[in-house]
Amino acid sequence: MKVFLFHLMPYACIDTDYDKTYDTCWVTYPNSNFDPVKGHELYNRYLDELEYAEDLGFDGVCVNEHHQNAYGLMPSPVVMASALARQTKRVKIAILGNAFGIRDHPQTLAEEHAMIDCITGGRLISGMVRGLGCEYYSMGANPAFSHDRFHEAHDLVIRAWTEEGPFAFEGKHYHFEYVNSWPRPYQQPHPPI
Amino acid sequence: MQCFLFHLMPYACLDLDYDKQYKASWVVYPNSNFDPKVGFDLYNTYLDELEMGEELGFDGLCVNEHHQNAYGLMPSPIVPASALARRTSKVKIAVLGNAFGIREHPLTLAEEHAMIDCITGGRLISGMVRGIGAEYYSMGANPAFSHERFHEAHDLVIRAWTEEGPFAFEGKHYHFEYVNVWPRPFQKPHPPIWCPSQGSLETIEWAAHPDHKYTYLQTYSPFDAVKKFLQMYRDVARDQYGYEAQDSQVGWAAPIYVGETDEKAIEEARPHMEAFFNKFLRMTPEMLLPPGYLSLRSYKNVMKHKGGLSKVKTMEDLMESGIILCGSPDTVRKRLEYCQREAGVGHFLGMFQVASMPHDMTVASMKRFAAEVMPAAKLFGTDDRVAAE
Repeated sequence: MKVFLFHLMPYACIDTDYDKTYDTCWVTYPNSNFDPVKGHELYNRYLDELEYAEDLGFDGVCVNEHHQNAYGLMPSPVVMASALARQTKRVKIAILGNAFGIRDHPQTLAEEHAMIDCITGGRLISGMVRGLGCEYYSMGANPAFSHDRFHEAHDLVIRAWTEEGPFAFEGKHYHFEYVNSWPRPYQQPHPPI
Repeated sequence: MQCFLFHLMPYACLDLDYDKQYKASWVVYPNSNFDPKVGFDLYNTYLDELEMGEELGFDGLCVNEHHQNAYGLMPSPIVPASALARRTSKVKIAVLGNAFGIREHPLTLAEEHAMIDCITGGRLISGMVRGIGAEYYSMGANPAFSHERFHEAHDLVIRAWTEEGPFAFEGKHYHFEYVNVWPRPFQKPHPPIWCPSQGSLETIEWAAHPDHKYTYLQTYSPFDAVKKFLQMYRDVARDQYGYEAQDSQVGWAAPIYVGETDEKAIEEARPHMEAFFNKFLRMTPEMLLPPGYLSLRSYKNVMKHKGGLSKVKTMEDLMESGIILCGSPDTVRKRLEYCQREAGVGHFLGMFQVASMPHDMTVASMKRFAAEVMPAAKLFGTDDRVAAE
């Protein structure tokens, strides 16, 4: 069994009585409750912890995507995975995951994953998720198309990673005349999903 | 004058004969020509060079966004900016820029910039660009909405960074019921905004607006054009808006090579500079400026000043027009002093690694600049400012 260290990067100093005023610490919990000075300390502490996992012998480190909440300060796991790319040498870096289908340009994530995979010499694991329900509020996306778009974004991204560009992609939700990702991923045919 | 190190991260081993078969190294040049093993070496070499920028005393490091090309392997500047965030401790990190308006979800970039600003304790400079014409092919976006969407995305992002969420945003192009960005940026009210441009009147008028006063950067232009556009910013600030623009509101980005002597510098840099302008930057006019991307008046203006961009350039052409800086430390220092005096450049962004230029040569040029040009260059313009105050 492989053993990974998964960080959620919570806003650890949340006022735990927040729920006397707010329904939830997601979407509607005002960002005025986020103190950037504390955020600076937390982010660097959490990245220290993730980097330490390599010294301790973990097989990989994991980060994820959740928007507009105090539960986890990672609207973009791409930032954290990139920050870890050159600070680690051996561990797998797992993005668990990115919500490809919730976006209108999933190929931007395909490009970013390919960049991180190249920088790390093939240490990326690409997680693909639909995103939690609340992500659909944050992104103004229609949850009724969630499965459809997730599958179609997946197909687009895998083709972008494995087929020679440029090619046109005409799906139900995604339409791109030129798909031609530079760079391509380091791992062949593509990072583990 | 502040000095920044700007990296474009080109696919340095581009087959320079590619243009016998393909009309551009952008959009239509197949990605089968990208070798990921080479990419691994290049990315890490380039990140090493950027990190060395801090040790050498540069004020900041710059990265940018261009899709689907061999000219620069950075479809996302977020990745290298994040990679640099914890490998550096004092330099500014300038994302120059991200194309906020070309996306359907500009808030994802607002979130990423806020994250990087928090991680670095406020060292981020947020560049906002429309994206060059080629990006509109890569992203399947309509260039005719380019200005409108750029402005609306900017307004959305600034509000997301400065107003308490959640609030609803109902624009012409963007509609979000819940805008409530976690995290917020470290810098108050938000990171400085810089606007790299090739000389668009609309961008200059917008950047110089008293509500913005954003730093305008002229990229790849003959020095006459640099001077003209930076002066235009000052004229717009004075005549339309009634204030005097500071040097810190304008900057210039240019390829540079510092050699031991003028002769050596020119001969060493020649193949790389010529490859850069004739091969790496090569794109068709409709890719660079697709219909609708510029207003008619801007189109005329850009063609007048940059119309020759598609002609084959020799090193001599490049030197004569002043689109690059090349020479001994002494020559480059004098030239930069002249340029600063003529155009009031507040920020000089040097592109040291150029096209096919190898690592050793890049580092040697950076070191000569840092030792023999930068200490003087950082003082250029300060006497004038002190005198004016």
